[in-house]
Amino acid sequence: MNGTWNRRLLLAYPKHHRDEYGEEMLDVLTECGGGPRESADLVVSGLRMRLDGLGAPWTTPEWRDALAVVSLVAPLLMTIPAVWFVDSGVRHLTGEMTTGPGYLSGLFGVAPVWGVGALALAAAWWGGIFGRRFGIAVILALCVFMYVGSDRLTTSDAKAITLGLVVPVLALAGLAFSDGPRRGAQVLGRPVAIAMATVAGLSFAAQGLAGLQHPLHLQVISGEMPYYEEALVITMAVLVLNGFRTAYGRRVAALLVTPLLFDLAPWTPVPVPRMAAVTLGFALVLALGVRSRRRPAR
Amino acid sequence: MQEPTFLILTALAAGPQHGYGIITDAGEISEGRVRLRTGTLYTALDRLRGEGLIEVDREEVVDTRMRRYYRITAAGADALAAEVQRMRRGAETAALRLGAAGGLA
Repeated sequence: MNGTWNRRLLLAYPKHHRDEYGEEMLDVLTECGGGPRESADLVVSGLRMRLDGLGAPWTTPEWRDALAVVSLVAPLLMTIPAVWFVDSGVRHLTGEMTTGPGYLSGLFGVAPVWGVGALALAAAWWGGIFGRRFGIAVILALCVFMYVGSDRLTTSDAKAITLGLVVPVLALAGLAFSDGPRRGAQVLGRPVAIAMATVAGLSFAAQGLAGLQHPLHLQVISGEMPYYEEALVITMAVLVLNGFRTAYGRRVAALLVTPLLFDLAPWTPVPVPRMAAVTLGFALVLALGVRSRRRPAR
Repeated sequence: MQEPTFLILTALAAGPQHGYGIITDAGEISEGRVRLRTGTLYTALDRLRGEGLIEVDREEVVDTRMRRYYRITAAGADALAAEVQRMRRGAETAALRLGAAGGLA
């Protein structure tokens, strides 16, 4: 075990760590006498530091705050289409509407579709109010089921299923990697939280009570499904009121706008591969999130 | 607080030390039970510096080798004191219970 060997082992560490401590570590290794345990510890510690580095951007206070806000907004986003679905379903059953609710008309009678959605919605609210661990476990199980548990769910309408999954996954991430919706409300501040809830409520009222399924006439984006429209309304409200002025706000915007990129097709003359849209989404998250400056302490 | 962190802060509580000095001191503090490895030590030192619990005291060149000395900060001393209190309370509780059971003279 010589200096060259130890220097090679140091490659397990990130470059910034080697620059800061590399020579010092080599001297200490020489003084310690080396040995297989020292070598093994060196490699394990270096790799662990690299892994920690990979996760670091997502564990910053800005991302935790952004995910806390998402854990507050996601259940709201899940509630709106759920109420809309029930409302449209009742109208369909009573004969007021000739077809079932929107794109789900073909799946209206398939209990796993709306049943899983209802359970995920309940778990998201439960997780936010009572206990995050239970909510996380239930939503995770439901997401897994939605991916692998039913052929109908995974092959019938990729766009619809993606829609159905994105928000629960966001809710799951919000519950798992943040301090939860209470912190989200705290981060937003009362004026913004109230304004956001009001905008969402008014939008829902226009849609549900007045029968305007697309109050903003954004069908080009949303097709038969009003989620995008609602997501836009709420996201834009957050953005306009608070978003671009804060590091966490930009991250929230990135997380909520990203699902829109799953449906780029109407805006482009050529079909956009799903993977390209997903890649673009992640790029947006990174661009808006990682490059954002730290929010100044209040 | 993890044991390497406790040992490093305890070693530095007596005064600034360089890396190898911390390793030998930690061995003495733990009565030979724990042998800090170089990789573990410098991962911990980097983290503790990031958390503001220790800082660089000075750098010296000894026999063409650069030695960097680290010292504990006020925040580090507070964290160590809090850990000592926690351990003391735990030890007292254990002693009391052992005494009640007749297991501690």
